[in-house]
Amino acid sequence: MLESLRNIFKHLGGGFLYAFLLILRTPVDTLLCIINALFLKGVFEAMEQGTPEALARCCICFVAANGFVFLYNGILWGEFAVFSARMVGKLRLKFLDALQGLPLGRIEAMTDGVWITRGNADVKMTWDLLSGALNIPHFVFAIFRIAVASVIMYCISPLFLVIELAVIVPHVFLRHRYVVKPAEQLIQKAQKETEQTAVVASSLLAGGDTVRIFEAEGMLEDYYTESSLNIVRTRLKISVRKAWGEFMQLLLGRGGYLLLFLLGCEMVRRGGMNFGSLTAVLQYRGAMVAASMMLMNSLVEIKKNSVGMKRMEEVFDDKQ
Amino acid sequence: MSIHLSEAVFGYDEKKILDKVSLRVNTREHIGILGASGIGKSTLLKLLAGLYEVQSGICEVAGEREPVKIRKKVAMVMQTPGLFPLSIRDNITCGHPMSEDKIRDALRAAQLEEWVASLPDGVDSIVAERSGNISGGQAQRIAIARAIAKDAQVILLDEPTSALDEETARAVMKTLEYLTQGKTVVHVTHRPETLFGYDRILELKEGKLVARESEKYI
Repeated sequence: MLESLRNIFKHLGGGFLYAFLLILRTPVDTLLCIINALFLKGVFEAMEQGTPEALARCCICFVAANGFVFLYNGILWGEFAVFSARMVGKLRLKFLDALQGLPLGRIEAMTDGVWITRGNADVKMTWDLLSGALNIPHFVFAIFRIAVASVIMYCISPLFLVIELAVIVPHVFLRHRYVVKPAEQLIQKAQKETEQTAVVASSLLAGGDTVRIFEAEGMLEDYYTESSLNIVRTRLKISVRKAWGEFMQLLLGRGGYLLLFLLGCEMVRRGGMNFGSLTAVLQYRGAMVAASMMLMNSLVEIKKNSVGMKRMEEVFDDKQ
Repeated sequence: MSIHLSEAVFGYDEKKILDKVSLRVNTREHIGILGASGIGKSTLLKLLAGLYEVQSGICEVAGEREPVKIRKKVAMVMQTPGLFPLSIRDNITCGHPMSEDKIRDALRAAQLEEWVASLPDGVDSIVAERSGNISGGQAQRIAIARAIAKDAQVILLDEPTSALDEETARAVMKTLEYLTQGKTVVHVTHRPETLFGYDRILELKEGKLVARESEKYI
């Protein structure tokens, strides 16, 4: 996929700016998590020690730090939105240009409808992959967040990290095995069925004369209904798999939280750590869990949208 | 009388394509209609096929005047085969109940039997004109097999070989001979040589049908 990404940016340009903006955006979520954790730690410590000055300092720092991150993020988003709009326009133009340069046999191998769908869907998929929610940006953010949260947790107590990993790793494995992978296959099936429905619908419209003379309306309607029902059935199966995922998240996610909380309380009772540090640990734990989910969901979306990017790449490369 | 067109008028908006056209075609008569491209030959055929309705005048085909009823009595082979992206079987039956023997007969008459037998899924193989798994000649033959299977009284041909190379066109013409045997045929074309042996040849000129010397083409 990296090769395809490089290839797409070779055609489009702007690869370095994209990478630069992505790097600048990466620490935002992690920073917010650290700010929250430090704030809670500071607040609880100040309350324990009964120092209103420390509490006030904590609140002022919290507001200032959040303000800074929001401002930073806002400016970056603004820049990224402009960059995105330009790149989508460029992508469309490049696609049209590449299409005009394709060998005629390659164009005629597919119907106009398929090319129009590709012009819209593949451009969208490619740009979603590069900038959309739960795609490459969130994949990078998630990895960074997991890495930073793991290091901080390890520094607070290696045992916390071990417990958290003991919950997260099976969760990720089970979710991937029983939710993500089957859902991914079902999504592909639904896409194929959607294409089939579009082909039948275009036959009804484009082949109108033949349809009427040979009274083929009934047959095409039957196929259309069948493939539409298949789409509904497949989407229902996807929803069931997703519901299983939610259940797993509830069971393992909450289980891990409870385990960590009980261990932390015991450590607080024995004087091994204060309550402020425990709340901070729970914040990092939350960040790790959320980032793991984000990572898994991003992998699914990336895989799905990279199909569109691959097709775009083929069109770009086949241009004569 | 198989086709009776009297003072038929048809046009798009202000432009008259057919201006008081009259035509009588006897049962089992084969007539050819010549005319330059864009003159309205296909429009005339679509009127006879019940795809369009005359704005004034009479259009009667196989005793029917209602377009929906006319469509039941005709089969048409067009310049582009208009295949559905479904199986060969579906393209021939169009979803109507049909025996295996009838499908096989239609395939044999359209000289497709051997080719279909060589396909892994036989008559259930999926065909799509633009998918590259079928040639122009094969696609047109499937369209002819579909028309043969319909067994209509009136056969309408709209330049069925014009999109094919010379050799393929000759082979397709042979299968058309089977399709048109014993039927009333109206064949529109701009190529007189495809009307060899036709009973009458007319020409569409400025919205009117005029007779041509058929001997010229025989």
